[in-house]
Amino acid sequence: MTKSRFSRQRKGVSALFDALVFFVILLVASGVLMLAVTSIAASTAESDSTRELGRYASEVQASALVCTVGPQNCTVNGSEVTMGLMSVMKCIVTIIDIRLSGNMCLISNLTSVVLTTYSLLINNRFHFAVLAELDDNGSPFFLSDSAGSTAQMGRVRWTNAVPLHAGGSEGTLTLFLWR
Amino acid sequence: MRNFPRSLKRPHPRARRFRDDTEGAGGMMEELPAFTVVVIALSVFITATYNATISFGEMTNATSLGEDASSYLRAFRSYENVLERGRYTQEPLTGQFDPAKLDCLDPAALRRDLNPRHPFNVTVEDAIANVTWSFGERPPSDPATPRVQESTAAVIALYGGERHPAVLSVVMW
Repeated sequence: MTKSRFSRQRKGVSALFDALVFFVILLVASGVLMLAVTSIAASTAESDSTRELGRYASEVQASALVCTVGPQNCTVNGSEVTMGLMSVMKCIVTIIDIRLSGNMCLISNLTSVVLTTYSLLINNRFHFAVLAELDDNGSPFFLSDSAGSTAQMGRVRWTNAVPLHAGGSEGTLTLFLWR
Repeated sequence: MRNFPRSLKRPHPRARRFRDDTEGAGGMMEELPAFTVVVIALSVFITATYNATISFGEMTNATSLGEDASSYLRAFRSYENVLERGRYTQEPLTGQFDPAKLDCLDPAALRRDLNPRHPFNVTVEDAIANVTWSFGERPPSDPATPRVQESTAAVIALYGGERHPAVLSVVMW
């Protein structure tokens, strides 16, 4: 009688142990399943986002450069000059030309309208910077919605570059977008 | 000492048999904790599988809706009936909208030509003049309705050569 009861208790304990092992296995399986779905969702969203944002950057750049600004006033060698309606591309070229000419100019009006145009086009979720570099000139023209330099741009960013002709040289005008 | 009736002093033989029994109900009761653990484990696994299936379905739907919204956005951006034409080539300029054409755009023609698979609302907003053109249906007010919003940059080409920055947005649900 005593042996039989002991045997039954052993059976009960053994069944509980098996059930706990089963529980742990199913718990791990559930975790793996949820982790897999989460990682698939994240990677899909990431790749879609990267592809879409590359296209978005090119559309912003194309739109911004054909937008018009002006008339704008700027001060050249102490006298006020009014510049007529011009495209943003033309405005950027003018800014670079003025900088290269070495004249004493106040071109903050021109840079602010370029910045405003890009700001109106770009979604608030993004920061942006515009960098104009000429092949044979070491002084790039840099504009950004967040103060700083290229070093302070986000690590993951999307770019779009177009050719630029200014001051008799060629270069590139690059738009950077980051979150 | 109080005298109890005989029936309370000594249990009935049948009751005594139930009390002392160790073979029937007692054996089953010993398995109950194990059974409970198995039921809990299975419930957790089934719940996780159900959630994963639902999440995956929602993700697939959202991706599909997002792709549709994105392709519709690009289709509208190059929809000839609303685009400005080049001065010399007369080619439609992608992303540059003619406000006069936006004013008189027929929504039925838009639906027929671009043929979206989902209900949509498309807006073009002139960021300088604060003028907005809207086409399609009103987005659902219920926040639980899955929807996707895509937007991109565009230009409003005014008469006289002026070009304003604009934002083109599509909501699809």
